[in-house]
Amino acid sequence: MGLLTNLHRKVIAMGLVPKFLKQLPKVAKLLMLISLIMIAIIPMDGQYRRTYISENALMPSQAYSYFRESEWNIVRGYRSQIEEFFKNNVTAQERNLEVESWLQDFGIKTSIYHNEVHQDTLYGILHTPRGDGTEAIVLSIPWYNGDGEFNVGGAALGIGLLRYFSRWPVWSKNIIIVFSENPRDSLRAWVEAYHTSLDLTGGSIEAAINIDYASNSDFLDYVEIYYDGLNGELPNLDLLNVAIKITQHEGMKVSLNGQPKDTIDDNGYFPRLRTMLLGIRDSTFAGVKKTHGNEAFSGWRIQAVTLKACGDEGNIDITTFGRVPEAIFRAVNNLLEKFHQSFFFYLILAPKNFVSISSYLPSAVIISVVYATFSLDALVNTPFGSPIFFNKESLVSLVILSITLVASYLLSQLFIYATKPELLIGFNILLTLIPFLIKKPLSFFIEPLTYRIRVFGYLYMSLALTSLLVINFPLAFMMGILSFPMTLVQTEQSKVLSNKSTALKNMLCITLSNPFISILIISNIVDSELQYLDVFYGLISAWKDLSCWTWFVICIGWFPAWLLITMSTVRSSRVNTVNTSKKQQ
Amino acid sequence: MEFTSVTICAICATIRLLGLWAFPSIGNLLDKSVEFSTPVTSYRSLKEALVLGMGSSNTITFNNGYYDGGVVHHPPLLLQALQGIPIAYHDYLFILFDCLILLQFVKLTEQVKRQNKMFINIPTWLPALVYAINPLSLMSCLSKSSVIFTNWCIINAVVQAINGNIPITAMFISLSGYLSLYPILLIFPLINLINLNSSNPQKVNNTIRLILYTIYYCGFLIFISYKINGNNWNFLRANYMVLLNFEIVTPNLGIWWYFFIEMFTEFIPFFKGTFGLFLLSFVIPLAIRFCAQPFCASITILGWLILTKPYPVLGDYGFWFSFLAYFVPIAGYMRYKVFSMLLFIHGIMLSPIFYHLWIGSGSGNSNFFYAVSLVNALAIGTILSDLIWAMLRHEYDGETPNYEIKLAQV
Repeated sequence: MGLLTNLHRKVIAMGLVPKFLKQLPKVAKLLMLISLIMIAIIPMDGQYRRTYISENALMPSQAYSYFRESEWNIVRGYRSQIEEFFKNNVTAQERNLEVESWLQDFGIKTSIYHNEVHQDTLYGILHTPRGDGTEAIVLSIPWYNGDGEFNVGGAALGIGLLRYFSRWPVWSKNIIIVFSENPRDSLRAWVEAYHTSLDLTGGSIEAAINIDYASNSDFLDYVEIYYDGLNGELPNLDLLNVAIKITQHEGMKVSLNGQPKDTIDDNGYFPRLRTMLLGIRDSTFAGVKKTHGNEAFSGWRIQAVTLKACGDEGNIDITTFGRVPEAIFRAVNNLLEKFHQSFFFYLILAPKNFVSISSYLPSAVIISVVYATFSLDALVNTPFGSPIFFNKESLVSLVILSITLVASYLLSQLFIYATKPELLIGFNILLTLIPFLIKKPLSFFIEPLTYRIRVFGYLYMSLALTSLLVINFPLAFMMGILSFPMTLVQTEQSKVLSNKSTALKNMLCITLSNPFISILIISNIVDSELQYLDVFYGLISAWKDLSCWTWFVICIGWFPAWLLITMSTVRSSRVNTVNTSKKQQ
Repeated sequence: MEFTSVTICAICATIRLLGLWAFPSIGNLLDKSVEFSTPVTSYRSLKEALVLGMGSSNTITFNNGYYDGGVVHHPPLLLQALQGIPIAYHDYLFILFDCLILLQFVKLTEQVKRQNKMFINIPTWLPALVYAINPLSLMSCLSKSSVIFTNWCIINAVVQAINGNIPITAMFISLSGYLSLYPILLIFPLINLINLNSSNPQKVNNTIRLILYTIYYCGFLIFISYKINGNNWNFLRANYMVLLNFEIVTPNLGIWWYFFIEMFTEFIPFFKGTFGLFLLSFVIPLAIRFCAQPFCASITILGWLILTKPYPVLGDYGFWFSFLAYFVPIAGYMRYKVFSMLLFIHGIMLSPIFYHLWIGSGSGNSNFFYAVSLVNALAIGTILSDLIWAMLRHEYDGETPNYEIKLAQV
């Protein structure tokens, strides 16, 4: 205690606290830098870890895989039949009925889920000969993949695999095969119906493997694995590891986050950083860009990955690719409990390298602290004397915050009904011009109020980021960085009065940190799939088709804060900067 | 700006009715949320108890097994009182009780202003208005949590204690103890409060009278309950042992539940003892130390009880925060106002999120949610230590706030 007292007295004597408070903006900028550095050092040697299978029961590739050349002819036979569908432009309904009859030939119980909006989905259940049938593994095969190509290889392989599985007595979990029209809304609608309304079900789904083989070639080059779920969800790292390990065990190369083939083998700092950043990008825009099928299973405690066969030349044949789902199914079949051993929060740096939440979360927390610090700065460092938090300005700011919240919510709803990105962008550009246009301040809009509004704006941003960062780290991280320019804004009359360059700088910062404008810019830069205004259509369809919250997070988490900061730059009526230190009471 | 009690009541009722009207399903939603409902306070369990007892008849039949099933955790008199009110009117009953609490707040403010110059500058309507527009008490009311009845008894007891009315104080404090056990401990600061305000100068006499009256009322309530319950004592176990033993192990905002999970089976008796003692051990010392500031001590002890009780809900916090308005005159002494407020806001924002990660999406686990419980506890702890510091400084400075003197806390 004595030591603490001395320390406390010394701190007071040296006046460290006021000095520290004066430097808050610098501290905050420093923190931002630290956060970025912390993310940047993750791919360095010694910072990341090698992946490992945490759940002993999984034992990937320990059993010999029998899906070999003997099955090749069967797969080929199914494939040529399915090719006929495509050539003859057979309707989806006839195609489903035909495939249903094939499945029934080897004893699969089938049913067709009818949905007017999201099209029909055929599914069948192979009831386990062993076990109680309360758990299931899903093999899902969209008829058309995310690129709109006919998934002929995948469908043939799926039917071949199921026929092969049905002759085997080892299964202790039901196996469900699903043929949806596409990997997006129709698969999502089926998953939802499976958990709510379907009659033919096979227990809780433990894992789902989505197969995408959109060529009629017997051969393929390498395998892409997709794992990002919606709303920041990821499959258990064990399942992803099993998938990667088995694929590599069968002699195929694994590409993550859609990296081209020539960069797969790169190893080093920059390739790892690239994989990590691509992962953050893909997770941020999950559901917004084209989907692969695994996203559809998010939110139901289902671990899902997509295996995509790439290239139609190479020395890997289709049965080798088929052995991957076989071995994954064997591994998951061994599970006695749900997936729980391994990580649910991680970043992948390379197929065999990862970092867990404890390595990357601090940097996101720091970003949130940055905004809290700016909020504190706006509270403490004002020309209006000692800070009193509970006063009239706070109350007014709180009311303004509530109004902006309601307005943002209304805007988000309005945009869902009338998706007009051009109007939205135009409207926001108009908003950024408002501080320029207002020449005469309103009487109630006094200068201390602008500071208090900033307090609440940054505070709100900090709160939004904090609540988001465990659920959806990539989105929180992206939001934190993209909205950073708003912290550089100066209130109109602080020090430099109505200076032209200050006003211009303010406008630039505000424009850059506007949620819609910056999302538009960033999506065009980092993602070739999201051209021009695509991102807004993507956001809306992600909400409508997949119930992905990204749109609401941006509208309700980010936009109100931005509105408040913009408002704080509007010209305000001046009050005396004489220290009117009115104590409470 | 001045608000009369009628205006505040109107504001309170309007907000709550608007909530009911705009979001008809919000009551059920909140009642299922872990923040506003626990097995011993939620409307679900109250309704279950009523439906279970009544069957198809109009009155509850308290047969021998009624309290043995492990479903009913509400005292017989409360159920008896509620059985006459059709379920459709329950919404309005809870709003009515919120308004009654408000009126008591107004009364309380008037009285403390009259009796202590420290509170002279508090607007009469402030605590009541805080209660009326506080989202926590608003949502607690909409979730129809039965803490509202306990809260009503507590505030009545405090008001009557300041009046110096010993029998009525004893009645309300016994009633609050009867409803949820722990508030009975408020009798310690209330003794001081009565001694300060009673017209009778004999302190010992007052103290003994209050204690005897309380024992009498408690005995009376329990005896009546015994009679109602078909001459069976099993309601005691269902109502009070459940709290003392933490028999329903479910997550909540408190600090108890984590230690009662299966992993710690061996130590559960130890934890029971520790938490029980922890709760008890600060009440009497606080009451003794601040015997000269009994009203503030009551508020602090109420906060302490909420912090350490086994099944807290946000409704308790909402009620307690309105009391904090009485600390406005000495708020200048508090050093961590903004910090504790931010901590609390973060806590209540993160708790549904972490609960979802654990129970909903399955990617988190119980540690996540308990971490948030600890953040909440830390926030309340900071507020409490701030209050105690403010009370100490107030005493030190001779009851006239002097913010110029800086004192080190350590």
